[in-house]
Amino acid sequence: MTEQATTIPGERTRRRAPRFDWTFVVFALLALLLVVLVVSPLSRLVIESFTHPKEGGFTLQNFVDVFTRQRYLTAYWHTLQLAGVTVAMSVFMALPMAFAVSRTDTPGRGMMFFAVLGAFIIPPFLGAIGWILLAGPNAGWINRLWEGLTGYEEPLVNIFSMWGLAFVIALNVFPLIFIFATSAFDLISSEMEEAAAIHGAGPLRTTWLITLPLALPAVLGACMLVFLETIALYGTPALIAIPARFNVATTQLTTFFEYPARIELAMAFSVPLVLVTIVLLAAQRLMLRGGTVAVSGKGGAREPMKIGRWRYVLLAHGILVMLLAVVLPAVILVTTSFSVAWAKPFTFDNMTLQNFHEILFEQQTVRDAIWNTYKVAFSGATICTVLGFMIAYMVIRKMVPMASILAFLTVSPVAVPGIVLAICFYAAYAGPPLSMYGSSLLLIVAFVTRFLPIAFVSLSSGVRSMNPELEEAVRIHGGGRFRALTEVVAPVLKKNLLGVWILVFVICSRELSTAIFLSSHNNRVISILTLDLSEQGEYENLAAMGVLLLVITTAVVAIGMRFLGRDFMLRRN
Amino acid sequence: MTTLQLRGLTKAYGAFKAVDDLSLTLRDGEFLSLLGPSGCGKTTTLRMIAGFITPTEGTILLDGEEISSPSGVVPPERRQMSMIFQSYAIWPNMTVAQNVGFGLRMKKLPKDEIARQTAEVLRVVQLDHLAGRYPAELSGGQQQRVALARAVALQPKVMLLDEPLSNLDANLREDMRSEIKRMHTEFGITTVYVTHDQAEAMAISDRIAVINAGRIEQLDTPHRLYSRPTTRFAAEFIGRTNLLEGRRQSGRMVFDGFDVPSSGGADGALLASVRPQNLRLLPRRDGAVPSEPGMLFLPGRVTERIFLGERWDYGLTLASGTGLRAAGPPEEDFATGSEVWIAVPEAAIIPVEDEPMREAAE
Ligand SMILES: Nc1ncnc2c1ncn2[C@@H]1O[C@H](COP(=O)(O)OP(=O)(O)OP(=O)(O)O)[C@@H](O)[C@H]1O
Ligand SMILES: [Mg+2]
Repeated sequence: MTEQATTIPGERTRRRAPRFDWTFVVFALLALLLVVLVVSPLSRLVIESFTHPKEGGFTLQNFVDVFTRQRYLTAYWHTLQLAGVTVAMSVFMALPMAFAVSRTDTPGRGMMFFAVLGAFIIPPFLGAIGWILLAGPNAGWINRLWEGLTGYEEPLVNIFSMWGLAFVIALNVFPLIFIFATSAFDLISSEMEEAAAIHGAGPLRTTWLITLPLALPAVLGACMLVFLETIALYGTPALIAIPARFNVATTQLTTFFEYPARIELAMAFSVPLVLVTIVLLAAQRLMLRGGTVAVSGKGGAREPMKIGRWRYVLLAHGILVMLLAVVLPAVILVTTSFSVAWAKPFTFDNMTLQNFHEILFEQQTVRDAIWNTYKVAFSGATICTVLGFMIAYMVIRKMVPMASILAFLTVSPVAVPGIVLAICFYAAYAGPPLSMYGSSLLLIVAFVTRFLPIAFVSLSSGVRSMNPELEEAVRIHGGGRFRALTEVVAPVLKKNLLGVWILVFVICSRELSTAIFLSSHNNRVISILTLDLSEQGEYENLAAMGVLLLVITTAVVAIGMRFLGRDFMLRRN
Repeated sequence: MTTLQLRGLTKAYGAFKAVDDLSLTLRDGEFLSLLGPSGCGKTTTLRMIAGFITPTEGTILLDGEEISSPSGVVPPERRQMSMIFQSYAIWPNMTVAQNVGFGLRMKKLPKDEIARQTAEVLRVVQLDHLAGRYPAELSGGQQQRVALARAVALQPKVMLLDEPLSNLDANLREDMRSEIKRMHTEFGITTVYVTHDQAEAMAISDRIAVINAGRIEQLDTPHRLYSRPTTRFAAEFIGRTNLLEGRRQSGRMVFDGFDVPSSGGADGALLASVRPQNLRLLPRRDGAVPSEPGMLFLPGRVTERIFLGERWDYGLTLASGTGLRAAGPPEEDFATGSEVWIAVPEAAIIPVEDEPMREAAE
């Protein structure tokens, strides 16, 4: 069966000592880093919530306190109501648009796409400011217009209400549902619809009986994401619910930090939010798994459905959503930023460049916040991209036996709402021995933890799509592992890397909830400053700052679209 | 001088042995193919030679120096080998010239030397006019030649190829096969070639290792592999054959209804192979039994026939009921049902499974 191993006389075999393997060093470093970024802060959630505030030691008292106080329970209840209403409103905004864009011959589909992108780009707190200016009960533009037209003093709309809050949030989060719904619609072969048509169903019934049910799992999954997004949101409720004098879970959380700070209680109060998140994320994954089976009829040619007069209904709906989500808030922000006083009509007398001059050259706090925001966003995006890439590579290529641990640690922060993450970081690093409270580094570290999952997941699918033989070819032709990474993998994935960088940069530049307990006046970012300026009623400077933020974000996104294609921001993953 | 030795090489995944106690020695400049069905462990063996997989048992020696053993492996980048991958693995972010010059750059040769050698190799594979192109702008065949050029540019000690032709269509295949052979002749690089296509292996190799379930069934030159298969698997895998079960008894091989002299070996059960090409059909009418020294004439009947253009493929049944297949020239036409003599040279009946495994005598 085998050939005799011939030994040539005089030949000797020399044993090589196994060489030092750097992969394990890198693995150990990454693991250590993830302990700092993830394990240490998140473990605080469990530790602190079970710790007695004064004596230390194990106790259930914090949970008893949370679940027996009416005020806290009301806050949870409000959050649930709010999330439910928001989901319903977002579905109403997103689903017809998704259907129109993906399946029909409705005119203006390109415009609708940009409406969604615009809604996605406008930070939630700026949208909220826009709507406060538009629909505040007394001075809001819509109400004054109403009064002027009809003479009624009773305001037409009041944004400072549960419905108003849900509406403003929905205008900001509906793109999530749009993204999931379009990608589900895109997978349904139009042959399925044609089959229904052949058997006598008209376009309406076909949609109702075939298309929507097929897309249902994806839409439900997206609804859960919207739900989670809403219960975790802090900025918009802070701007609207606090003046409206009702409490939601996230605004309640900030009250635990009023003097004397009660971190244990805050942690215990956060635990239900984390549990809900875990359950819904798990449900969402199950749902999508079922969904892909249902819509796997991929590949058939897709003909836009001819829907006759319904086209105009869908077009009108798209225009309305675009007006509400993008045009109106943007216009009001821009005019306010150029106004002397925002409540006065936008006439020539009322126009000024003073606001921009102030934020850029006079107000030190604003300048610092702008500078700090972009410092944090730049560092956060860069670190997330590099770390996410390294971890994704290690995990996907199974470079060490335990690599999947890295993956688990990396993605686990998705189970924790941003504001809870902020509390965890506060507990872990704000006080001694590190005393990082008020430093930009603390913000960067927290943002990296929060957005690393996005970078990791996206880059994992990039690495997975690469044939490993490309790297093996480097090695057999004399290059090391590191060279394979820098000369082949990274250049081949450069679009993915740039896409991830831009995405993380944009979301870092507007992140509020993770920054909330970690900023002092030393390391304030624009999002935090927005709350302060709004409280002080300085809407003109605030609007100028918002416009600046929007211009920079739009420019970055435009660069991304130029190099990476139109929908790089709106891809589902 | 390059010698590559695999000694008792084994790779186990759990209890399953993908490669099982495999030993062979490649001589300097030899072209050896690993041939076997899908899943038999060819790729695993090749990747162990390349240093991507650590063996569970056994060693690999290059020029007498141990480069792989269960306790450690010289990493691929320091084995002075090169490889052509099934996907070609041409780096899409580099031009043709950069791809080909990569290995030279890793050797830290001076820039102009790299340029000179790259141009030289590109000329040999007739790609010099495409040096500045990116792989996405090349045809499949051109990409293949880039992979080939990249692999030989290094002047490696050993070149490894994993089914390099399997992604090409039939016409390109033959071109590339001769291109690979030409490169081998030109540079004389010791080569291990993996394939599951026996015709490809036959056409290109100095020797072929037929592998089954992780073990070498037979290691021989293409011609001997065909004419003297030593195992049932090798006989069936290389070309078509008729397998006959019988016994060896007092110096003869005895089958159902006939017997032939045997060249030795112990008495007992025996398996023999005879190729369809070695059978000739003659018309059988009443009368004399043909006879010729060293030839066997068996009465039989045509039960089936298929015309394949170059030849007839006959299904025959002997009086004993044994079925045989024979190949006949197109101009000799025997109808289904006709009675025939089947003429077989006695020497064409090769005992298969009782022979001791041995390396071909060269
Ligand atoms: N990482 C692994 N874990 C477990 N089993 C493996 C692994 N890699 C390979 N195998 C198994 O080892 C056997 C040999 O695989 P190998 O890839 O060497 O086959 P092959 O001869 O190259 O086949 P093919 O012609 O299909 O490429 C197969 O049965 C395969 O399933
Ligand atoms: Mg293989």
